Amino acid sequence: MFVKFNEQNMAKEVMGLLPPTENPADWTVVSDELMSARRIIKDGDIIRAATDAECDAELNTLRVAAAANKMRWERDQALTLSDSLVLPDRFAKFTAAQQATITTYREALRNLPDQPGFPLEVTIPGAPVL
Amino acid sequence: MSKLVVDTIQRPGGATLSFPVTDGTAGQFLKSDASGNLTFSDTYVFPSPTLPILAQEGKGIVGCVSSFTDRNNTYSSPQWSSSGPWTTYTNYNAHDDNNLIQFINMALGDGLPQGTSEWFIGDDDRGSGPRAVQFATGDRLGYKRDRLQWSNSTSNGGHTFRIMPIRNTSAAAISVPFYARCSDYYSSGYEGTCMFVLTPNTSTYSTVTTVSSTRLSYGQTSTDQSGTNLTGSISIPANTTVLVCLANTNSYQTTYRFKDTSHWYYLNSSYTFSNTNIVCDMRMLSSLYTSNFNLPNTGTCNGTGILAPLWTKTATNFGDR
Repeated sequence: MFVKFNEQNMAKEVMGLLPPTENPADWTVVSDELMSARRIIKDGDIIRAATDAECDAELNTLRVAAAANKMRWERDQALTLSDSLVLPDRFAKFTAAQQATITTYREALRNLPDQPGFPLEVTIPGAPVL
Repeated sequence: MSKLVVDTIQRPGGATLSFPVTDGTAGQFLKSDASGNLTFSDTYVFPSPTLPILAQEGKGIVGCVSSFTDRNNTYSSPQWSSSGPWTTYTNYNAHDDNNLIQFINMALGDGLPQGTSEWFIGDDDRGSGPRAVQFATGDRLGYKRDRLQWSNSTSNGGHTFRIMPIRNTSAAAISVPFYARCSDYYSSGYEGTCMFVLTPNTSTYSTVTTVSSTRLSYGQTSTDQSGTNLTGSISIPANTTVLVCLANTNSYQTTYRFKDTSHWYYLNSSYTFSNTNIVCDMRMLSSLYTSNFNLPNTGTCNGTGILAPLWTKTATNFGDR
């Protein structure tokens, strides 16, 4: 069978045969016995089944990255929703206390990735009540 | 000859008829062989009626059944929740363990056949497709579509499930190649993409008792990928129908927008159907589309009899062979 690896040397595509459009040089030929592996890893010159620990470590990395993307997306949504509050003409009509609340809220959103538990344990600041 | 009594000889020189020398059993009729020989024979009994098939077989028509879910969370069927009432499902490993029965149930439109109030496939009703049939108009069968996912989760994307029945009509095994293209994403460990084949232990529908599963190709792409090639070949036994199965994961494109690629290609005379003895099994396709298989919710299928009803029900509903 034929395998293509990602930058972390983990198999990302496993094919039983190559379509005519594929360049064989882009693929690594691997024993069919590895077809049943949970994950295939390239360990130097050796290609083998990844251990459960290696699989779990990779998944943890992926989950953290996915969670970070999701939290940043939610943060960006909240910032967008509050953009109109800081338009000069509207912002000027708020009291000093309200302006401070808005400013603090948006600053907390921007600093979200700095929270110690980011991205898995994050406290999203509540929208200001004006 | 036994005694024959007639009132009048009407046509001297007419055809000579040879009657049986002994009486038949109750209810039998005289039957001619068109050469003047008459014998007692049973009345013709029509076979049990079978349902009409979707399309004529052996005419180059290729079809599959499919369903889909446009919902995030690839954990389990049908609730798609890690905390739901169901069990784990892994898409890149759909051919094996407890995943296979869930794949089949979802592909047939109900991930929990014995369920009551649970969702059928996805964890809501915002985009679960019922069992459907689709035919190829060229070398490809399936689709490549954009779709909206309300939960906008980049991981644990939705899926499309497909089953294409392929029959070897010859008396010898034939090796057949399959080419598919699927969207893919691998983030939580439950996603990925997979093409596999289900092979029965005997060639006759009605006598199938166990089914084995073979994975041909799979993907575990940790970056969203709208099209991954899945290829492989399998030797189909003589006069046997196998089920070629496809499971993909939707890939994230941009906010709320995902790519759902799920199709076979090269379904032509140079590749998959290069041997004219290889056809799409229309009895099996019709059965997969219409039959009530009443499969269990769970169980290890590979090498067991759990999936045998896919073949035996076809024999009952559409005729055995």
